[in-house]
Amino acid sequence: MTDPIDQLLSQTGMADDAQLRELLTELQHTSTSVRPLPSAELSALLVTSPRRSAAHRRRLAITTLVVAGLVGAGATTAAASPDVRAATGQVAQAVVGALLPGPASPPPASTAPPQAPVPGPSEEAGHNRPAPTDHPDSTNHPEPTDHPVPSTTSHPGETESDTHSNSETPRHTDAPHKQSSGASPNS
Amino acid sequence: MVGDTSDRSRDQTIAGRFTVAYNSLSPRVFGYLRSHGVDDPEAVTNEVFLALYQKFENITGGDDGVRTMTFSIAHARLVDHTRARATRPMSVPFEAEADPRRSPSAEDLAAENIGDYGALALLHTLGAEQRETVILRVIGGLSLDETAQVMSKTVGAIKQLQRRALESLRQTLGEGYAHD
Repeated sequence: MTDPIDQLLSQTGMADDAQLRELLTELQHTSTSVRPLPSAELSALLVTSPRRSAAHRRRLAITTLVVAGLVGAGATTAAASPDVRAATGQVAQAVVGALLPGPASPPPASTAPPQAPVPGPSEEAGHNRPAPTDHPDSTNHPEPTDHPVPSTTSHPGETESDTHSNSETPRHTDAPHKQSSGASPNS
Repeated sequence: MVGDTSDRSRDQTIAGRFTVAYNSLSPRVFGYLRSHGVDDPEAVTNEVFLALYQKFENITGGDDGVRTMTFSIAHARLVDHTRARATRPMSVPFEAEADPRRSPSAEDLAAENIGDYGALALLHTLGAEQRETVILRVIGGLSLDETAQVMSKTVGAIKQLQRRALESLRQTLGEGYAHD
């Protein structure tokens, strides 16, 4: 967004007036430097605790269960077939790599690709995988940013005139600005 | 079950967006109200955002829509406050230096050299609509169109108000510094 002071000065043809710019900049700085404290009622509506910890713990617990299951399955089948053990290890690495944060590393190439199908537990674990993504932390951003989730009705590329001409702008959904009627947004 | 999850997800999304809006706009709303001399700008800021939350789900236009709605509510609260103040005496202690409503002399302006109170005091040499236009644009960060919506005026009227306001400020600045 262009600086509102730049916009204002250029729209009024006073972009070169250093005194005015200094005055407006001072006004903006002193007037917006105080962050008010939310009341208790308002605080209850704000997201104050990061959600990362809870989600992260849940994901870690799921990962632990999956790995434990795979290790158990691998141990029971180890004596029967070394190929199965190797395949189980590969699956475990893939699951851990997909679920834990950090750069995903592909499993090391095996000289003996699995010949036998992975037994039940590992297949089940694969189905129960909790929606892994390429970026495990992408849904767990801890702090709100200056770029909130855009509204489905927002139009990022629209201009000021576009905004003004939008019949769904708040002007038509609320009448707090009707001074003559004295209508309050809460009334 | 699926409906509960969907509702919870939607509520979390609204809460997250509302928090972002509060964090980014509350200092501006506070400054807007304080620059108009509202008695308790922090309390009124809280009222503005509580009212905003009631409407938040239905606001369209993305961030611009949220900003416009926020200042529409703040503007309405200011009108209410001004009317209430006109009908009852103020009970706050008077502090001349901190009172943004005072009209300083040119000597005051030169002496203060556009300090904290000097900038606000200069603003209060303007007429009410010119002052509101400048405050909404500079402190509120609203665009020309958004300012027109909040003040229920045409874009052309806002252009004229802001031009006259800046010309007046420039003249006052020149007079103040001429006495320096």
